[in-house]
Amino acid sequence: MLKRVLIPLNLHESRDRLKEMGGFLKTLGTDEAVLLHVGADTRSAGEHHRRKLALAAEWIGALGVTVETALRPGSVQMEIVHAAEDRGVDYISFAFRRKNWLKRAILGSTVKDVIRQSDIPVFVHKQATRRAEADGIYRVLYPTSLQWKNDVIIEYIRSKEFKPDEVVFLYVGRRAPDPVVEQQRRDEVAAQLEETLRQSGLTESEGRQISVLGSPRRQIVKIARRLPADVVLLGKADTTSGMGPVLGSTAEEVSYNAPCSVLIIPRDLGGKV
Amino acid sequence: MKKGTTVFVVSLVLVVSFVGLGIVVPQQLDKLSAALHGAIIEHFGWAYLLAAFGFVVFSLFLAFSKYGRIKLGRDNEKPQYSYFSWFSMLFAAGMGIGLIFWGVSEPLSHFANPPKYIQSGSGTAAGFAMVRSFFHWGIQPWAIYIVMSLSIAYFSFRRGMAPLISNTFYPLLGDRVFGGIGRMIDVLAVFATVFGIVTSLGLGALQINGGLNAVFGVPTTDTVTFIIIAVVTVLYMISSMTGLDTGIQILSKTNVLVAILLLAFVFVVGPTSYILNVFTTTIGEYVSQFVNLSLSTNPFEGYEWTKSWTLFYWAWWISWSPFVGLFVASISRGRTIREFISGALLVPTLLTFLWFAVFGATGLDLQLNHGVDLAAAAVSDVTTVLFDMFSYLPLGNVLSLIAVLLLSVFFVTSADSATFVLGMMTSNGDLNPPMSKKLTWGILQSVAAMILLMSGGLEALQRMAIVAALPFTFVMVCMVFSLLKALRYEWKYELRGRRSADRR
Repeated sequence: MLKRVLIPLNLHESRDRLKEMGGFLKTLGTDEAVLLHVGADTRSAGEHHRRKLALAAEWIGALGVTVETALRPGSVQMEIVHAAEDRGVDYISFAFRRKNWLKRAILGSTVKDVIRQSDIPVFVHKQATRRAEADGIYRVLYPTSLQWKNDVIIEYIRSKEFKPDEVVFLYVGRRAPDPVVEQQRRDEVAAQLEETLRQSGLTESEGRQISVLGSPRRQIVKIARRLPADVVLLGKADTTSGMGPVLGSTAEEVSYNAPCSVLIIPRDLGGKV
Repeated sequence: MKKGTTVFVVSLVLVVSFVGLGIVVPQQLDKLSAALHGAIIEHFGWAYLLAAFGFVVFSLFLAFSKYGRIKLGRDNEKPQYSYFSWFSMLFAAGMGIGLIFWGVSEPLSHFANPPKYIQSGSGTAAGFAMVRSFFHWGIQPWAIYIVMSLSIAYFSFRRGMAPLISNTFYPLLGDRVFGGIGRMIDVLAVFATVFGIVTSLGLGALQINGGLNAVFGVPTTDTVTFIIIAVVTVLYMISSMTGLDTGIQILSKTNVLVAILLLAFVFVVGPTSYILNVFTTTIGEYVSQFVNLSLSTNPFEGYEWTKSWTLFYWAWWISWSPFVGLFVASISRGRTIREFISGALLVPTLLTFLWFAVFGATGLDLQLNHGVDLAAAAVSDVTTVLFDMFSYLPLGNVLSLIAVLLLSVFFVTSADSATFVLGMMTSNGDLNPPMSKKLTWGILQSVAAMILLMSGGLEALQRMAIVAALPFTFVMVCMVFSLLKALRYEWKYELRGRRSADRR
C-alpha cells in the first residue's frame, strides 16, 4: 500500500533528519524510495546536487531501502507531482520544516502546493512522531466528515503495516440551530462514528470516538495536540468552500499546523488502491 | 430562579434605580449620561455607520440568496396577518409617532441649521435637508429592525425556541443562552426598550399638548401633559388586555388609514407640483448618494452635525430595535425570508419618503415661497411646528385635530406594543405574557415618563437608551453571524436532504 515513496529533498536535510524519516517510512512498509531534487542541472550545480543526492541515498539505503535518485529542473511543486506520476510511486513524503510567517507569506509552501495538486497520498513527516518509543501508544487520529465513504482510509487503518495501537475517530461538526435538532445531530453523529468504528474492525480498546464543535482546521490540530496523536490520517476532498481559495483546504492547513505527522489521502484514490 | 423571573426582577430593579436617579439627582444623571453619550458618539460613531450599512447589505443578500425561500414558520404555514394588517402594524411600531413628530420639523431644522459648509436657509440647504431626512428615516432603520426581527422570528417560529433575543445566539453559544450570558442580553434589551419607550411617551405627550393648544387653546402645562399620559395609559392598558389580534391590529390599521388620508389631503391642498418635484429630486439624490451618505461621518467638516443628527439617529434606531424587532417578529409568522425583507424594507420606507416629501416640501414651500418663517419655529419648538404649518392650509384646525388623534393612537399602539414586548421578554418569551407583568411595565413606563418630565430627567434617560445601543450594536453584529450559521446549517443538512428525497 505504501511500498514505494517519492522523497523530495532540498538537500539541506541533515543525516539524522533523513534517517529518522526513513526509519519511520520503513515501519509503514516502504522498501523503495525515489529521492528527488528539483533544481538547476547546469554542469557545476548539477554535479553538486548529484553528489548530495548520492549521499542522502546512502543514508536511506543504509536502512534497507532500495533507493533511486532523480534531478529535475523546473517548478518545484509541478516537478514533484510529475515525477511521482512518472515513477509510479505510492505516495510522496516530505521531511517537514516549518517556515516563519514572513517566508511563508512571500515564498509560499511547497508542501501545501503539492497537497493541493497531487492525486496520490502525501505524507508530511514531522520530527515529533514517536512510533519507535517503547513506552508510548502509537495513536492515529482520523478526522472523518461522515459524508464520503471511509473505505479507502479504513483500508489503511486495517493494513498490517500501519497497525496503530489506537485510532481516534474525530468528527468536527457545526452546532444545529436549536436544542432539539442539536440533540438529534449529536445522536446521529455518535451512531455514525460507532458504525465507522465497527467497519474498521477495531476492538473497543483500539478505537474511540470524539465529537466536537467548531472549525475542522482548528479543532483537528487542537485535538491532535491534546491526545497527543502520532499521525493524523486525513481525507482530502478537492471541492472547497466559498473561502477555500483564500484560506486553503483543511488538509493543507492541518498538514502545516498539526504537531505530528500527517498522511493525506485524496478522495478519488478509490480505484488506485 | 427561572430565566423569565430573573430577567424580570433584575431589569425591574435596574429600571427603577435609573428612574429613581432621574428623580432624586436629575442633574447628576444628566451629566453622567451626557458624558457617556458624548464619548460613545465621539469615538464609536463610525461603528454605527458601518454596522447599519452592513445590516442593509446583509438584508439584501438574504433576500436575494437561496435562503430567501426559507419560511419563518413551518414549511406549509400561511402568514398570520394580511398584507395590510402586517404593513400597518410594522409601520405603527417602527415609525408612527416619530414621523408625525419629525415630518415637518426635521427638514426645517436641517434647513435652518445645516452643517457649516452649507449656507443656512439656501436652496442647497433645502436639498440637503430633504435628502438627510430621507436618509435618517429610510432604508437603514428598517435594515436594523430586519436583522433583529428576522433572527427572532427564525429562531422562534422555524426552530421552535422561545421568542427571546438571547435565543437567537444558540448557534454561537449553545446551551449558554439559557444561562448568565442569555439573561444579560435579555436584561439589556429590556433596559433599552423601557428607556426608549419612556422617552417616546414623554415627548409624544408634549406634542399632543402642543396640538391641543393649537386647536383648542388648551394650556401647555405639566398638569395637562400628565392628564394626557394618564388617559393614554388607560387606553393602551385596555388595548393591551385585548391582545395582538384585536387591539393593536385594529388601532394600527385605523391609524395607517387615517395617516394616508391626511397625507393625501395635504398633498392635494398643498403645493402638489412642488411636492412631486421635491419627491422626485430627493429620491434621485438619495439613490445616487446612498453609499456616500451611508459611510460618511464627515470627519473634515460637519462632524458635529453628523454626531448630533445621523449618529444620534443610528444609535436611537439600534436602541429601539429590541422592541420593534420582537414586535415585528411576533406578527411575521408564516412569511418567507424574501417576502419579509422586501416587505419590511420597501413598503414602510416608501410611505416614509412620501410622508417627508409631502410634509417637508409643504413646510419648505411656505418658508421659501410664501415668507412664512416655519424654520424659526422648528428650531425653537419642534413639538408645535406641524400645527403651525397646518394653520396655513385649508381646514387647518381639522388637520390639527386629526394629527392630534393620529399622535394619540400611534402613542397608544407604541405603548401597547412595548407593554406586550416587555411582558414577553420578562416571561421567557411567552407570546401571551401574564397580565401582571404587562400591568407592571405599562404603569411603570407611564409613571416614569410623568416624573421624568417634571424633574427634567427625560433627556438623560434618552441618552441612557442610546448608551445601551453600543453594546447592542455588537450584539446585533453577532446576531448576523448566528443567523447565517443557522441558515447555512439548515440549507446544508436539512433542506438539501429533504429536496433530494422529494426528487426521488
